[in-house]
Parts: sequence; structure tokens; C-alpha cells
Amino acid sequence: MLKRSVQIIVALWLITWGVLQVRLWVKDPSRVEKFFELIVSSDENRRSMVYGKEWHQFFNFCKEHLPSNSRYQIVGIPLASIHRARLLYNLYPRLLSNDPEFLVVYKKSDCRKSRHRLKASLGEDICIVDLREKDSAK
Amino acid sequence: MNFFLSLVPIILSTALGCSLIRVFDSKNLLKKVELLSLGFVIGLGLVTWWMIILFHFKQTLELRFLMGPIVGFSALFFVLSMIFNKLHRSKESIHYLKWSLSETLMLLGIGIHFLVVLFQALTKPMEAFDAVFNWGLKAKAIALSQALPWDLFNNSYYPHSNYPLLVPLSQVFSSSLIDGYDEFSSKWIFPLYLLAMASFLFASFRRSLLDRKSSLFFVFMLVSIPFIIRHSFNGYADWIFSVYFSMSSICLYFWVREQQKIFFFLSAILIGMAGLTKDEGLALCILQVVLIGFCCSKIGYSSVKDKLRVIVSYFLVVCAVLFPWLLLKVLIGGTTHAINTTSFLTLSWDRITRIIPIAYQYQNQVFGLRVWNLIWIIFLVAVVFNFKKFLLPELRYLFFAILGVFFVYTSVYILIPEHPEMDITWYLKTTASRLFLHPISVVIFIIGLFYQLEKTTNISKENKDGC
Repeated sequence: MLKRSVQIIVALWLITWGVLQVRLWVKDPSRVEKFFELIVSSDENRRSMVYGKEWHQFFNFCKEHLPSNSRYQIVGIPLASIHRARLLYNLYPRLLSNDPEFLVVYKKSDCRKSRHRLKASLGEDICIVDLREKDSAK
Repeated sequence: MNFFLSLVPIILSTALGCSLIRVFDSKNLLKKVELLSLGFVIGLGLVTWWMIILFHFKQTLELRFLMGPIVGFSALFFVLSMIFNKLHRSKESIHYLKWSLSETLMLLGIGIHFLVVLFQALTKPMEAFDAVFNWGLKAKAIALSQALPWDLFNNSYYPHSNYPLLVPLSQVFSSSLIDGYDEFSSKWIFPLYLLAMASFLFASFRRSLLDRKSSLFFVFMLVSIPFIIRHSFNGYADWIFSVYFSMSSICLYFWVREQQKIFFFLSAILIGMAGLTKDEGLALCILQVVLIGFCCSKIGYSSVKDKLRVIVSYFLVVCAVLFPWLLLKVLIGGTTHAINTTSFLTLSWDRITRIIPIAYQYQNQVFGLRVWNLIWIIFLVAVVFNFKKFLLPELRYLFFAILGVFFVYTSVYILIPEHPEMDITWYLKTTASRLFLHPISVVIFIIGLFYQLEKTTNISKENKDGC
């Protein structure tokens, strides 16, 4: 009885395990390919693959234009979003603050509306606004 | 290059852990596999403990303050262990028995799973929510400032300032030889905790006289559970917490069975380190102390004085591990949604009825094949049909440890105050799966022991019938 029960359990375990592996592969056939691509890629490519190209480009844009140790605020990325958390992580030691020096705008029209100086932009609706300086032209 | 450089501190901390254990293991009771796996987890815990002490003395985490004492104490413990163990030195005999095909396949399966986890850990940046928002962010902040990042702790946009620091500090330590901070190589510790738990579990099964094939299958079960795989590389603290709790419970079981002091101290140190890993560890420390009280009356400590001596010794070891962190936690300040006296005073019928969504979420986990494979179903079926056997002395301490975990977590879900943005369903959805992860290795171990018990009973029955 015990031997039979053990055989059934082992068989069921292995079947479930096999089904789960196949399911993963069916869901995303390029999974294995991506796995090996991750191994041979550079760190930056790996970040791009994991975060998504667009987000990775945005994170790098922010890192490039926000001075180290500066304070910033974000517009356009929902509070509970994973991308916001990743941005905060990537931008450290720059800190999110109630008293920001810069405004990071992601896909919002605030870039054009702002009365402050536009520090840098990536396309039309992604930009960094320098809140310390007013734009005299507006 | 960074990958190899981050391994060096881990090897050093493992040496520290091993040499400390060897000092206490004067009878040479631990096998090499046990020594190495325990040495790795206790070594990293000790390093974290030391880093917290450095924070208290306002010292930065410079290499000389980190490596100097670690190398020094490793050498000291090594010499002490050589002196203490001189009388009991015995060579561990290694039996190179032929591996059967099924054993080779299982070993291959375990190896492949481990390699997949290792590559996922080392090739992916920090990306999961808690990893980038809490553990990994703290590791990055501490590594860059070489001190406590007060700018982060005093900023309300970055919550959980007073969460335990074992995971971030272990990552910082593994990056200590690297210039700056490398988020990829700092993730070495995660797959290594999986390797440590798998090796320890295998050695524990062998110590419990389970045959090699069955032991390997149970280890294969552990490493092939999808949720464990995911948590062995995603940068969360739950798997590491689970390893400390499980190792502590298994050591407690061996203390009851073999009554060797080394297991008693290991259990206390490990559960203390669980408290350094996650806040839940504090509740589980209390649970282990209660279990110790229960155990010692069953193994010959009959007088109240003896019992108290055992409980107080355990408690003191746990306190020695936890005290520096608890003091630092007070200094850091910050708030949590945790339970306080008001939670008990305002306990209402409404909150007691939370048991319905809790039970619903629990059954979701038990039958969640995609997450857990069959492990919880096997455990549940075994318990339902053999409840009395789980109360036998061979199994009951581990069984009570598992029940205790669920009792503690269910109580927390019931007592946790209402929060305008986070209701109980939200809490359950985001945490229940991770709570099921915490006792998982103990569950696999108890299933293995139950199988062994059944097998022995069957053999003795057959022998009787034969007579």
C-alpha cells in the first residue's frame, strides 16, 4: 500500500512538474532563447531586456540629466507601479522629495505647460523640468 | 571579474561560520555537508550582526573593519576548534556507492534547477517590487554610503526604514571587494541559500536514516517547486527567512531526538537570525521558545528549575543575536502597520470574520499547483488521514512548528488594524503565498520523516507476520 502510494505521488509530482515546464515554454516560446541571450549580454543590455527598452531608455535619460544627490518629483507614473519603484532604485542617490529641485515628467503634457526651465527632453512628453529656474520666455 | 570578487567575502564568512560551529561541535557530530551549509548561513548572519555593531559605534563599513575581525575570529575559532576537538577527531568515511539511474537523474534535475536559478540571479538586475523598493534599494544605499543611509530612512517616500537588515547587509558584504556597487553580483547570496537549504535537507534526511534515493527525491521536490525557484533569485527576503526558520526547526527536532547541545544552540542562533531577516522572525522566535518549553518536559527535564534553565538559555542566545538589531531599530524609528496593544483592545467581530477571506486565500495556496506543485496537497492528505501519527514523538515537534506558524500568521491577519488603502484582501493577496513559503522546507522534511516512519512500521509488521 505504502509503495503504491509513493509511486503514485512520485508520478503525479513529475507529471505536474513536466506540465509546468511545458506550459512555461508554450506561454513564451522564446523563453530559452532569452535566457541564453541574458547570459551573453552586457549589463546594460540585460537591464534593457528586463525593464523593457523604452523604460530602460527613460531611466538612463533621468540618470544622465538629474545631478547626483539632487531631489526630484515624478509626474505620470502611478504610485503603485513597478516602473516607479524601479526608477526610484535606479536613480538613487537622487531622492524623491516633497521639496524637489527637478520634476521628472513621463508621458504628460506638463513639459509644455511648465513655467520653469526645461532641462532636458526625450520626445514631446518626456522631460525633466528644473524647478529652481523660471522660464523667462513664458 | 566582479562575480568572482563577490564570492571571496562569502567564502570568508562561511569559513567564519564553520569555524564557530566547530568550536561548539566538540564531539564532531556534524557531517561536512551540514557544517558547510550551516556555516554559510550562520556566517552571513554573524557578519550582519557585526555590521550592526559597527553602526552602533558610528563606524563606516570600511574593508579593514569588515575583513579584519572576520579573518581574525575565523583563525581564532579554528585554533579553538582544533584544541577542543582533539579528543574526538574522527575521519568522516565517504562511501562511494554506485549511483542508480534514478538517483543520477534526480541529481541531474537538482543540478539543472540550481544552475537555472544561479544564472537568473546573476544575469538579471534588481527588478521585482520589494527588491527594488526595499531590500535591494537599501543594499545599494548602504553600499554607496558605507553607512546607514539616513537620507533614505528619513524620507517618507521610501517606507520600511525599520525593516531588518540581514538581506541588504549580506548583499553589501558580498560586494565589499568591488569598487562601488554591482547589483548583479550582489545577488550571489540568493541561489547559495537554495544550495545551503537543499544540502542541509539532504543531510538531515540521511541523519534521520532515510535512504539516499528517497532523500534525493525530497530534495528534488524542494528545488523544483516553482515558487521557491522564483524566490531564489528575485531579491526578496522571504526565501532566506524561510531557510533560517526551517534550519532552526530541524535543529530543534534533532536536539529532541539526539539530545546533543550543539543542535540546541544552532536552533537558537538560527531563529535569532530569522529575526534579523524579517519582522515575522520576532514572532517565530517566541514560537520556538514556547516549543522549547514543550519539548524539554518530554525529554527528561522534569523539574521546573531544569526547564527554566533550558528555556532561559535558549532565550538568552536568541536575545544575544537580536539585541543589537532591536536597539538599532529603535534608533532608526519609523512606523509600521504592525500590531500593538490597540489592535487587541479594538478587536471586534468584524475583524474575527476575516477568517473567511483568510481561509479562502489559504485554500487557494494549498491547491495552487502552478505555485506549489503538489506539496501542500500531499501534506494535507497525509495529516488528514494520519492525524494521530503526526502527534507521535517522532513528528509532533515539527508538526507543532508548522501549525504554530499558521497560528501566528492567521492571528496577525485578524489583529492587523484597518488601513484605508490596504484592506485584508489586499494584504492576503500580496503576502499569503510568501507566508506559505516560510515553513515549506519543514513541511518537506516532515513528509520525509512520515514516509520513513510508515516504511519502518510496515517492515516491522511484515517481520511479525513472518514470525
